Amino acid sequence: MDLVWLTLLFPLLGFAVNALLGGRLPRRAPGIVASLAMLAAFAVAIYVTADLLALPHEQQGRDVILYNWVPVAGLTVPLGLWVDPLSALMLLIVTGVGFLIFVYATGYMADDEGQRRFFANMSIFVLAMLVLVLADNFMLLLVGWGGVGFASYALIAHYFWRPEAAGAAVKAFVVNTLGDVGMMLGMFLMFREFGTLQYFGRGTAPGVFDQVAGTGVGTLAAITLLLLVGAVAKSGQFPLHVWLPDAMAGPTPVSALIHAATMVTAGVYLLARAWPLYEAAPFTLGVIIWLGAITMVGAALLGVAQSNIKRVLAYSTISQLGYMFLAAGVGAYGAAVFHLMTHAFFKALLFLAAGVAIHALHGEEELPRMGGLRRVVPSAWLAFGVGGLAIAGIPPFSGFFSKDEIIWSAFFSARGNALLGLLALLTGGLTAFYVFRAFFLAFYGAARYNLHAAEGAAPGHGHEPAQEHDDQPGDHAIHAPSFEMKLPLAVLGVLAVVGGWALIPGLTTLFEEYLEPVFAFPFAYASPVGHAGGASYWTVAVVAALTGLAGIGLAYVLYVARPALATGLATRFAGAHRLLDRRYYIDAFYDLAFVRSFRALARALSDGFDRLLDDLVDGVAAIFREASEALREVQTGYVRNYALMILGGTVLIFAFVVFRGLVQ
Amino acid sequence: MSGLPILSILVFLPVVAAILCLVLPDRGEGAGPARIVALVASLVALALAILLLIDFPPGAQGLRYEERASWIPAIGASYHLGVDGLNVLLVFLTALLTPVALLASWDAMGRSPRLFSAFLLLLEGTVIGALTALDLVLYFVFWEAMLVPMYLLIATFGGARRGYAALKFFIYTSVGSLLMLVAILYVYFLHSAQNVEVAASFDLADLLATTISPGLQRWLFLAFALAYAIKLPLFPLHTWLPDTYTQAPVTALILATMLVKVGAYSFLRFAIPLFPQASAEILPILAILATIGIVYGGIVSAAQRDMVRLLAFSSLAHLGFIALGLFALDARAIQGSILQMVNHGLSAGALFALVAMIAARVGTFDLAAVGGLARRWPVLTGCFLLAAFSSLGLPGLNGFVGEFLILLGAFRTHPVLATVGTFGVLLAAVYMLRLFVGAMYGPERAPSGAGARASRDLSPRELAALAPLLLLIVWIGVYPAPFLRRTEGAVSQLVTNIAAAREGTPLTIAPPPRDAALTPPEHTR
Repeated sequence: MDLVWLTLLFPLLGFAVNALLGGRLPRRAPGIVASLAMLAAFAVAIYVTADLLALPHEQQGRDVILYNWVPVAGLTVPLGLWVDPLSALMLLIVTGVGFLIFVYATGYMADDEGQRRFFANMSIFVLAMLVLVLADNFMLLLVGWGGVGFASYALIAHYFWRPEAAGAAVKAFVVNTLGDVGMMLGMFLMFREFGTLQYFGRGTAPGVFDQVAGTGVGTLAAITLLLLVGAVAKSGQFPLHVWLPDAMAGPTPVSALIHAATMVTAGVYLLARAWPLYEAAPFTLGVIIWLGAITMVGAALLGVAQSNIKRVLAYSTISQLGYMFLAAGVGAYGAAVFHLMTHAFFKALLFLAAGVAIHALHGEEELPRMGGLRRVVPSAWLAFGVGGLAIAGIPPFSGFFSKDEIIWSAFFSARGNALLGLLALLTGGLTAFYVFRAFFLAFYGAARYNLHAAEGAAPGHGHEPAQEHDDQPGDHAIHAPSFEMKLPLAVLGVLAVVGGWALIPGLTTLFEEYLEPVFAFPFAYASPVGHAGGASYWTVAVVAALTGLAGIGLAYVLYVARPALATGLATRFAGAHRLLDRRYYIDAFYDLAFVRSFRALARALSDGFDRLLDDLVDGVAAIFREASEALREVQTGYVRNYALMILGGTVLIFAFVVFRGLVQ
Repeated sequence: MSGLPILSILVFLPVVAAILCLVLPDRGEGAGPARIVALVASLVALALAILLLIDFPPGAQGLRYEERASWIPAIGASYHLGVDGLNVLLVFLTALLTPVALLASWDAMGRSPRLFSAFLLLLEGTVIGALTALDLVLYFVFWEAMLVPMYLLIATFGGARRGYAALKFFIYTSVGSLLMLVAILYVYFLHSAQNVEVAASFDLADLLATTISPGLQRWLFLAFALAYAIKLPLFPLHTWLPDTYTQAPVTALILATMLVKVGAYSFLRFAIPLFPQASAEILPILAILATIGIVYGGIVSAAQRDMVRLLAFSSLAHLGFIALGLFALDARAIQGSILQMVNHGLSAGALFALVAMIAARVGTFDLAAVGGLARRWPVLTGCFLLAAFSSLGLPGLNGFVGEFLILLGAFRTHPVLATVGTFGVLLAAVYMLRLFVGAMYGPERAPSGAGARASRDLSPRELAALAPLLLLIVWIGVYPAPFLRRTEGAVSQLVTNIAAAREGTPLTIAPPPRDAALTPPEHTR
């Protein structure tokens, strides 16, 4: 277990090789080096997890300290890694799913001029995420937290010459920094209250979580709410979700990484990691529940109206993260983490499948210009279909089990209620509908794409096309996915099916047992959630599965069987459609309320106030000059002489006063 | 190295080399032996400063490498230098930034490389002098002498409005200094009046023993604080800064940022220890100004089109953080502040150098005239990215450690100000990305006729100038312990001394004991 630091070293090596000497390597080397580094990190992760599970339950939490990172008077922050079942699971997801995405990217980015930069940034992304999940204290957590923010910025801006990519990168970073500000304030308050930033005690010194009992409810509410700002920003929850759909400006493997392995899961991880704090802050839990529910429903509705296949998936991620927040809010931390895992499998699968379709069409992402791809790229059809069934919650796919756990908790947990349960249930149907809407639009019906147009539309830069591939001129053939792109699809496809079988109430309790040390030890809280199972669970499960099927059926009717009906509905409810199309006008509101007003304020201060201050100073100088001119005793014509004379006079007067005072 | 007068060498080696530079001839545009002499001298000084830093024991309290000599016995002024945790990092930083500035200025020394090099070396010597002087006359001499090379750099090599800017800089900063001189004299006379049996002295250690009434302390502290507040600068006394920075030769600013840090350091060394009660009273007000500076500098920076002006206002914001940390009088915050002075030297130094390198290629500092430059120079872009994210306080790099400690500590004593200040981190992201993204991303744009240099990536010389800064940016982010440990002893001592003085005895009007509420009141019959 002490070797856990190797999981950090390998991505670091992947970065260093690419950043420092990649220029001298063969063309495909950057991807291969980075992927091998990820594989090595994954191997270490497996070893560490096995090592951890060999320990008895009550010892499954180990602090591995590498060195003293920030030692100052009255505070020592170590570079320490906390290994327990939760961080080990995250370690496996990040390195495992990450490795598959890296392998895929070696094929997807094979022709990209910026491969070296791309894989260097991808490696940093994983490294930062690993620091985030392994940190044993909040300050180090923030390093990972800010690091993934930076890496996502750099990757969203991969095509930096495109204004929308640059804008999306800045937007993502600024929104995430706002989250960081909240996190930092939460930590300052925490430190003021507890005198430490460690999660758990070391030796005789207690950690933050050990001191929760006996702390004021108001203080805890403030700390947890401030931390929540960071979690909301990172996980794309309302009202800080605006950066995530724009982040699609990056290459598709980046989207897969952001949505499945690194980045957005961080918020859920934080809630699960800091659950002793949250459980003691009922007000914050209410906020989490309702933010999660609003996000879950609101983003699912937006998913219905998107025409870009990646944006459909982006809103589905936001919505699914809403589920996880809801789960954490009602106390079903295990269910939240379970869904985090299955979501990592099927969302990576969906993105990579979409990527194959986009790649095949030379970068076309608009659903209205796809169609009929089932026969063209069958691997993408199959993969998207499996991923779609998983996210729609159709048994026996993984999403069914993890989502049902959440819906059931929303209904029957002590903090849940019928409204939350119904919302979760209905959103399930909505999810099935919009994901399969995209599925049918892309893979069924007539082919609506035009490879000539896709290429001609590219306002490229010399040889560099605006779309993601460095196509040869005159290349109008469909791009078939390479082996390294198909292999990850196969592995993720299997995981998206079986990933949910780790926890089937009444049959397997593998996952519950696995996480038990995290959510029981060493804190004595009565879980607000009972054990899933029994009649209530299976009733919910059957209804949820049927809702999902209904959603798929509706999508089939509207987009395959009777397409005219869909256009009819869109015109009939034009107002609602417009509201969704404009994303509830949230982006427009932010632009006006924050971006434009900030610019106006900055300009007013710079051109108005600051100039005024400056004039004031010059004015004072001018008064002195006038005064000295009035004296007309000694005139040399130089401003500096006047000024120095005046200063000298001032000193003399002061000195006189001072000496007189001393003599007395 | 105990026998070596290492601090005197650090002060006077650059000065002697500067004089040597002055007598060497210039050979036409940008040539001549002077800059080589200057570089060698600055590298020797850097080697000594590194030795000093390594040799300085972590966690040490008290002064090291002290040098004392009689100087003007008639008035009790002595030659007294020394380092402790408060200044050892800054001495190292000054010695580091000098060769960096020389390398970055190599081709930008205009008509007279010998003058340019000489002024830079003089700046180094006088700054190190002001940083290490422990006698107030000696300190004041260095403090004023620092202005001269800076004034000459602006007046000789500056932009179109250099005359106005140089004069403004000189007069503005002199006004505060003269009041400080009066205050120094007052303390000196007070001390000799109180200690008639010993000889009069300007030595800081002697003057610290002076008993000063709280009312008087207030005025004396204000006189010191005004000098330092102008130098830092604190809002609203910052108006000299943008003009000075935009008119000065940009590569000279790499070192010139040390001037403002002398102002910050002087609070710790002189103003706060000499007048502890007054500082306890007045620092909270100054902390408000520091916080305004963080926010104000950040907002105004975001509105600038000129890259150097943008960096000037960003410096105002960064120094606001540093000042807030000092004024919080919390050990963690002060340690964070000292580290942040180093961090600001590194990130601002690198950014000024990079902006100068960009301007040398495209011929403008105007953000509106350039864009998409990342395509041309991948190496320069990578360096710029690192420096920009260091400056905006990205966790994992140096700036984060400093800012986090400052705000963490300040939050204990001034929660509201620290909360407002934390939003400065968000503003930093906004203005730094405006600079970096504005220049490097988007469709490629640059003024035409920029010449052949426009396509060239960083030269080995330019890379050599940036490398040490970028290396330290990463190092301090990942492993700041060696730096923090060297400041810990002195800062703990300082905080303890101030706390003791504030509670303590030498007061004419004693404050109510702080634990009065804890002792049960006695009943009177």
